[in-house]
Amino acid sequence: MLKSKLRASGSTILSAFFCVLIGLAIGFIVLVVLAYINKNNTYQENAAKYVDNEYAYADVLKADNYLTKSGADDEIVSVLKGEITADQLMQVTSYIKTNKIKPAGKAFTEDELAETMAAALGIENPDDIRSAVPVFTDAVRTIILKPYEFSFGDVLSDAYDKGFRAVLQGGWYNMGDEPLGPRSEIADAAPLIMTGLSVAFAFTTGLFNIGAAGQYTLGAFGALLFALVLKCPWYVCMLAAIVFGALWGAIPGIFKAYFNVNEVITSIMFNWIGLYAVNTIMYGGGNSPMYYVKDSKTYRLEVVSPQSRIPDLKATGSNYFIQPATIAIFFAILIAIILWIMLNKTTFGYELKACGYSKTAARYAGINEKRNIILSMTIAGALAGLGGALYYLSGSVQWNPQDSTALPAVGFNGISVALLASSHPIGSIFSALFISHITMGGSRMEQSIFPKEIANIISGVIIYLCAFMMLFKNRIAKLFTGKEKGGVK
Amino acid sequence: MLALLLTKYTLLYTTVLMLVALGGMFSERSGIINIALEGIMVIGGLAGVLAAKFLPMTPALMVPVAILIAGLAGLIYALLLGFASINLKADQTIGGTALNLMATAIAMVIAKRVNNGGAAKLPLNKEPLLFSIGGLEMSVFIPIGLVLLLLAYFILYKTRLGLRLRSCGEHPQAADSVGINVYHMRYIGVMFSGFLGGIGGMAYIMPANPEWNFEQGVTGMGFLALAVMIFGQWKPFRIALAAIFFSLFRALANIADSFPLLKDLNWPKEIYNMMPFIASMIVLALTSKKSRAPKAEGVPYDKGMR
Repeated sequence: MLKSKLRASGSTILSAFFCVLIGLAIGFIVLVVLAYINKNNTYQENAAKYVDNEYAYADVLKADNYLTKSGADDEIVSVLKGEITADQLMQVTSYIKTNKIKPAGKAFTEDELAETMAAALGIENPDDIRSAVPVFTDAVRTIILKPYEFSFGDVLSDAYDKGFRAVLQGGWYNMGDEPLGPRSEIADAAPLIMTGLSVAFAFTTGLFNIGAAGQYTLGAFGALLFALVLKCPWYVCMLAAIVFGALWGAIPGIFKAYFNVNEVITSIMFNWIGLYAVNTIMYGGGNSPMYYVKDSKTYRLEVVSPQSRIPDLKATGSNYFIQPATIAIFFAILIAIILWIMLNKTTFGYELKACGYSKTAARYAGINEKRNIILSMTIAGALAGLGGALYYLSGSVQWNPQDSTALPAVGFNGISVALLASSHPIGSIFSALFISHITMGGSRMEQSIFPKEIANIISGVIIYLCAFMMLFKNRIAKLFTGKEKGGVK
Repeated sequence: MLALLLTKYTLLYTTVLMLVALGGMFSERSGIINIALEGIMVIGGLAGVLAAKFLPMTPALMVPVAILIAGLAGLIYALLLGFASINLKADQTIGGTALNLMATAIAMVIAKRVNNGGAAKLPLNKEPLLFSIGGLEMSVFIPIGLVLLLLAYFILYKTRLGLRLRSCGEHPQAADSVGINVYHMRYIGVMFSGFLGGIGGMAYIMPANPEWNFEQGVTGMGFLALAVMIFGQWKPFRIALAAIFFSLFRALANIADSFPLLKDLNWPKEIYNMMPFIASMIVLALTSKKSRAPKAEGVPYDKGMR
């Protein structure tokens, strides 16, 4: 019994692992494409400067410096097309440098170059050398553009060095490549675990909680309200967040149970309603007690109400766990374990799962599915709301009520977490750490070439693959064990 | 004057919501739940903006080509949903959500790349798209929307294709038994939804803004369109009416500052932003009890099932 359960979860983990690998591979391909475009753009931009074949004294100087240092390679020789030799080229550039020959205007004209080349090479009549002027300018351009030339290997190494390596390192290293340890990732992952649990829990009971972002917002609002205005200790604020989030989760539940409105639509609508409402109240026309006009954000907790901050994680003898990590992560893990126990070991959890598998069968068995839908969504909302508290009650995080178009991304990343973990509560912890890892890594890439949204693309691809990979997990397991997986599911 | 402004904005949003909701209608009528409309709008909008920006054509030619490209981009993106839902029989809600997540990210990456590593804002040239009739500024999407609405009605109800499409959404097994290829029909439904959604995305982004920050995607219009579709009970003309209803609220948000009556109330701007969503919820609550969705929607078609 245990063995088959282990095998079942083994194939799920294997499938998830495959999705991750393919997602990362596609991410790398995107990085390579972007690196190529970037290098090519840089090359073209610099080449465009010389499209009119106008070269100043400084340009020839650059060419001479290069030739003196590195000599003429095959590319330069081929550009010369045999009209003049590489040595002659160097003679001309040295001549121009030594005698400081400058153009009359902004750039050398063909006549000036012909005369100069004739003088440098000891030719009587400039007209004899005139045919070599174009290859001279070509050679100069080639040399100047050499730093911008790139091979496919360069593209790959750029994609890795400036991009993929950061994704792999995640939040473990900061931008200067100094090891930070897991503390940033732990701090970042705690709220994400909560939203992931919220979505996962709803999934197990047959509901799609896409409203985690809105419930998170309401939870954050509740926490900040109790912290900044009522100045309560942190555990009271967390309770407030749970209540606010639960309320916002109950609404889609009620709409589905009593009005037959799809919970996806309701949740999305209330995401926006919640965001606008919270922003309005927090901003309060600039006068709200929560709003600190100088910062354009809400007040900082340690200034106004330090007892509302979640206690920091302190580990003696090592820097790896201090700020920004708080004990929030312990709450998240504890709740994940509680959820797992509830779903798998209690009658209540059993009823909820039954409703998820088949509403009608559950009703036939005497389970009140209306009550359970509302209860599930309420619990899911409470979880997401707690996530909001875990984030906004830690460190010096502030809410910006003017940022009205942004629903907290952590709400939607929770969907990714839940799907990657196949809605398993304990698995959600790990998938949250993973998504947190690549998201932090994404913002540590060199942004001008590789925007941090690439991490979102990788997450999206992984979810897309998860949507059907799970259906193939038996086949994938067969690939590895060579045996058919028996039994149901 | 104010009435003109209100009409202008209402028409604008109506066109967008109607086009996208019609797209959703085609998809869901064939049996595929299309949550990815938001993402399709973003991709279509981005494609249209880039086409308008980079194609070296006279404005007269650029407009139809850019719109076609927007539609095609949406169509191709929707194929991803189609492939996952039809061939791989994945959960359509999950697939749709994944595509939504990817779309905004892809749009931002491309927009930032076009800006050479800068912000994800792209400047828009809306002039070629606008024309005026007696002081009322309209965009070219309004007549296009009208034509597409009539086409949609005609295709869905007056052609064999439409009949077959509808049958695949109601009872695919029965359709299959008569020889209709359910997979093909569903792909066609998804492709229509991608095409219309892409055009809808461009219709939202381009006509009314000097520039667009792709960080905001399409600010939830795709989901609002889903509500319009449900309120319109998956029927073209009802969808159009529902679109007008919701657009009125959205348009009010835009002009609230200038409306003397509303200005006196001094409600914060966010209230108007919330209104279309609150109105949607009230309407949906009242009408969903008798809501008749296509019977087989969301269920991957499996030939072996009864």
